[in-house]
Amino acid sequence: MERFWPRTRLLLSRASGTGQGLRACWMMLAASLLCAAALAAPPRTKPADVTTKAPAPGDFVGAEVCASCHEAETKGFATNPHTRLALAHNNSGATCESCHGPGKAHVEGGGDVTKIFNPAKASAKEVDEKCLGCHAAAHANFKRSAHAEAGVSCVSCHSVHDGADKEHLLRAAEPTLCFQCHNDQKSQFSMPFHHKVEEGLVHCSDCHDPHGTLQSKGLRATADQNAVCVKCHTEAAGPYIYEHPVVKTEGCLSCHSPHGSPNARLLNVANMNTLCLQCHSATNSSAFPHVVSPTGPAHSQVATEVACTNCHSQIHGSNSSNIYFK
Amino acid sequence: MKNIRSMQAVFGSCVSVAIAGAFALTILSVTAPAAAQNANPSNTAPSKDNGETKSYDVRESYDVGGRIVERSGSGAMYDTLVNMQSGPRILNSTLEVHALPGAKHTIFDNLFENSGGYGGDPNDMSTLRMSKGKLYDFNGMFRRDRQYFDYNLLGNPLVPSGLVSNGYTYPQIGYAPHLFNTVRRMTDVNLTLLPISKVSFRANYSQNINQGPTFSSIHIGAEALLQQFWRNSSDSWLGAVDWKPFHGTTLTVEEVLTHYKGDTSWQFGGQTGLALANGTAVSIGFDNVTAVGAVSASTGCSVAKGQAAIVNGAVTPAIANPCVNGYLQYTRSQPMRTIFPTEAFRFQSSTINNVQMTGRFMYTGANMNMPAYNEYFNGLESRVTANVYTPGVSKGAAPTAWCTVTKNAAGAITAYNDCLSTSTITGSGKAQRINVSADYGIVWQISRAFSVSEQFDFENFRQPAISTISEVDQYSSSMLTAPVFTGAASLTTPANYLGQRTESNRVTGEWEATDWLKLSLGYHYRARTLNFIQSVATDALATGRNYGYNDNENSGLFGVALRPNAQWRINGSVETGWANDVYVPVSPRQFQAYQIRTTYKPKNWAVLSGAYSDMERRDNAANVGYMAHNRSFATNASLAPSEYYSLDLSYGYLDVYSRAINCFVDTVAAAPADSTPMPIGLACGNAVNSATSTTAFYGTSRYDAPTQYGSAGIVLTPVKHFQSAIGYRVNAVDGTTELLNPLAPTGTLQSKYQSPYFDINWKLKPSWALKGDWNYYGYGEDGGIGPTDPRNFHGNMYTLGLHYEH
Repeated sequence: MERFWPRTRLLLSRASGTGQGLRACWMMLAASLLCAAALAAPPRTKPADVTTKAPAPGDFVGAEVCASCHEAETKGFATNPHTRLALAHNNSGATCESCHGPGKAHVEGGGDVTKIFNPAKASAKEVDEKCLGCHAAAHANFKRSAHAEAGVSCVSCHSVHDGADKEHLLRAAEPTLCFQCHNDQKSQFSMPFHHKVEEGLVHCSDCHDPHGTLQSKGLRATADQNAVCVKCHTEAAGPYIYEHPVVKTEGCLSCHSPHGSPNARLLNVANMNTLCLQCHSATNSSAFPHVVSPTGPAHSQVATEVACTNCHSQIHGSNSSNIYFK
Repeated sequence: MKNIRSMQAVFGSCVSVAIAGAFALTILSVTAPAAAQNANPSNTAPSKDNGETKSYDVRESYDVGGRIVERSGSGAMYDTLVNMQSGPRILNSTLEVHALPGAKHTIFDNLFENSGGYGGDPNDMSTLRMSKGKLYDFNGMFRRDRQYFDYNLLGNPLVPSGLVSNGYTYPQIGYAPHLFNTVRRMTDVNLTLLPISKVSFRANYSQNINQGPTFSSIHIGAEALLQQFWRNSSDSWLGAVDWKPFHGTTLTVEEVLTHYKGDTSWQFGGQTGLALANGTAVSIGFDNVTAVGAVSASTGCSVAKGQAAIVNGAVTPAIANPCVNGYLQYTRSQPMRTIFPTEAFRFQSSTINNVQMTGRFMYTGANMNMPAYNEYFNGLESRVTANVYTPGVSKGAAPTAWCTVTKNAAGAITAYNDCLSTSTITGSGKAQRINVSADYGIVWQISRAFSVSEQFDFENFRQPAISTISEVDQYSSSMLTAPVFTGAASLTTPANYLGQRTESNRVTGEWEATDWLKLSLGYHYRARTLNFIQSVATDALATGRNYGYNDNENSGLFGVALRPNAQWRINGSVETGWANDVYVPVSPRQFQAYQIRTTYKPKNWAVLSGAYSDMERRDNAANVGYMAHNRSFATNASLAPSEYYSLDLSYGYLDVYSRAINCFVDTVAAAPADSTPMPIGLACGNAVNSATSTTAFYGTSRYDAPTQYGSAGIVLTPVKHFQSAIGYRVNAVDGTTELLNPLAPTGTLQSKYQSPYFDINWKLKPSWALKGDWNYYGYGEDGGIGPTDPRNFHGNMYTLGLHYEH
């Protein structure tokens, strides 16, 4: 296609204030490092941890020995995803000691709990380190996630021995598991209009990655770097010849409450025209000259005009109408 | 719409059954050898039965039965919110197959299949997962979702009851003009080869088909109801290679290709029981707020000059005035294809001690192509006219029939005009999106107690678009008259552009002060530059739009994680931010977000939890006054003190509030409450108040929707083989909003939605169980519901099922 678009200065210029902001960020980072160094001098050493020493082959006792005492924990292992590796390696793959460390000292100590790694007694960070030892590639953003920051470790959601959800070893299936902490979201999903999460059609993890993403709230994105919403609502992905720019630049949440709403289209307010007027009002002409179309508020709103979308029906974007009529 | 719904139900059911059958056959073909091996769940090692070695542990279960639904009240609303209907169902089925340790030459180590909802439920789902050790990992999911929408809010026709013109009563449309009855089918299939090897390969295919009959509308003088033949689909393929060069480091190259097909088309679908004098069906709009008045004596074609919109209401169909805005025909098609190729490079590394890094670079070049745009309108639009005779300039006498006249200040006719009668629009267009992004994140565990994390994100997208649209218009004096004037073809060649570049940075320091206290402090910064060009003019913007915009946003973050003891966890966070500018009022200049969550497990059988969150948003710019908040509080108690019973209680409160200064024009009725007249001389659009005329008003856009949610559920297991559950859920909204238009429905702002339930599960034999569910759905609205049918409904759904497992 011929280059028909105007040459942009976007790639060449920098938003005013960008430099200062970035400098501030780096200064903050440097200050944090200095603080860290001060706080960490001398750095505390880790307590003796069986997992930090390279174990000798003779330190392992094998899963059968573990099962002789821990029958309840090993009962569900037959259907555990971790056993895939055991099968693949003829029972020498991921077994009890892969996570708990070599068990010889523990066994010889008569079940000495200090001689083995116990996630139930470990800190969230220690548990996460253990799991990420194998799963870091799949959950590359976990350490920067809201869950990690809040000290919600892997075993807060996953039951490694035998989860209610067999695929991911979750302690409970979605959304029950998520609602245990995020119970304020439960009331949103019980509104008359909502995404069908409690019905089982949509899962929390369809839109959010609990292990963290590069976006806020652990939101996922589509492969083409669009909002996760367009994975299902494909018609809103664009690009359109006539973009309603706010859809792309501010996101779907400018107008919609995705979890649930009293409005039938999950709008942020009850009435379509009120929503539109929050931006497209002549009162905004000084502060937001670019969003005002003077013909908009000139439409009489009382008892003569219908919903804005009766005429502006293609409000997400149009390929034939600059005012989104068709 | 009955036909549409029933046809879709039949069609949907057939397709569902076909898909379910296909899925079942696939699964059976894969698992038949396994199932044939006389499963024995207790086996943990290969064993022999009749001399044949068993390799698999097979478990399966089936729930078959049906639903009986009875309902009263609004069927449209029931279908919109619930849409569960009577009929037989495959309620659920599962199949689990596991290779026994030591089994040789198996196709898979584990297989899991689950399906449910087939036979007529609005939602059906099937999943299939298979894996074999280090060789492959496969999972697939199919989801079908029927969406029925007949809630008269978005496309509110606002037709008052009993509107009469010349003996004809305008009908009220009892359904949503934007009704839809669509089905979305989503398929996702993922395959990973050599998942734990140094080099592994991933492939994914996703399909999304959304189709079904819907309604839409178009405005050409009047609003016409359109049948919208909704059909959009996308296919997406992914291929990726993961390479783990060192322990703890993974490099990934991904290629994703998505192909979108937009085949939705529209045609005139809203006859309202009117005809012209020659018998041709006509619509003069479905949303007439007031009866279309008489065509004045000075305008209008000779046939209907001075007559009302309805010429004769005494006959069936009633005869409409051919000189008012109306539709005889309308069609539009604009098939489009979009290809989204994306290349991505990712890396993740925790090879360096105490440092964990992740990064990503992505490039997407989306190409939308609309090769053939076609639109045809036949009717009358009085706003678009063509001069057919000018007194004193044209030769001959004034025409005996015309559509409108133009007068000078003295009231003398200066031109006789015909109105737009037919319009044929064709053309093509293309749009692109070039999106480049790069992200980098690092976490450095400086000491056991202190860590710092940093994330930098860059994104730059550009969207150029062009199109060529040709329009040929014809004009006539009325809908009964053949066009007498054809204007020259007009050509529109817009060149539009939207681009945005964003850089953001977030740094967080985390201090694990003690075993029970963790504090974090962070700073977030975002800079954005945006350009927008739209070359085509509008009524208000004669030169189109061309502007640049930039803003800078800063915010501080503070978090605390407390663990007073092993049973109690408390997390809290605060983020407060400000921006030097915002693109739209609903993106605030100042915001604060507060969150606190706590979970307490005093006993193994008791979990208490609570959450509070508050998002405050402000834009205090002059004449904007945007203010909004989302405040929610929720608490939950799950108690299972005995194997015989358990209890779950929840309560939630949510308040969504927003307001912003707006202005609007009221030329018809008294201004609504909350509004005040604008000062004399100050304009709202093109309306200006004067000493003798007040048409421009300030409004508030006020919206407040406090919502309460409560649920209580008890599970009783008096004996080992019998379990029952009883519960109640309610959601009640008691909201208010600025009511610009007294005819506009305010939605569910005054509503209560209740759904009690009762379930039993009686295990008859080790492999057989009876299941029964009762669900009640009650929806009621208080206050004015607007000019539509009542939306209240009650529904009882009984589900009976037989469970078999082995």
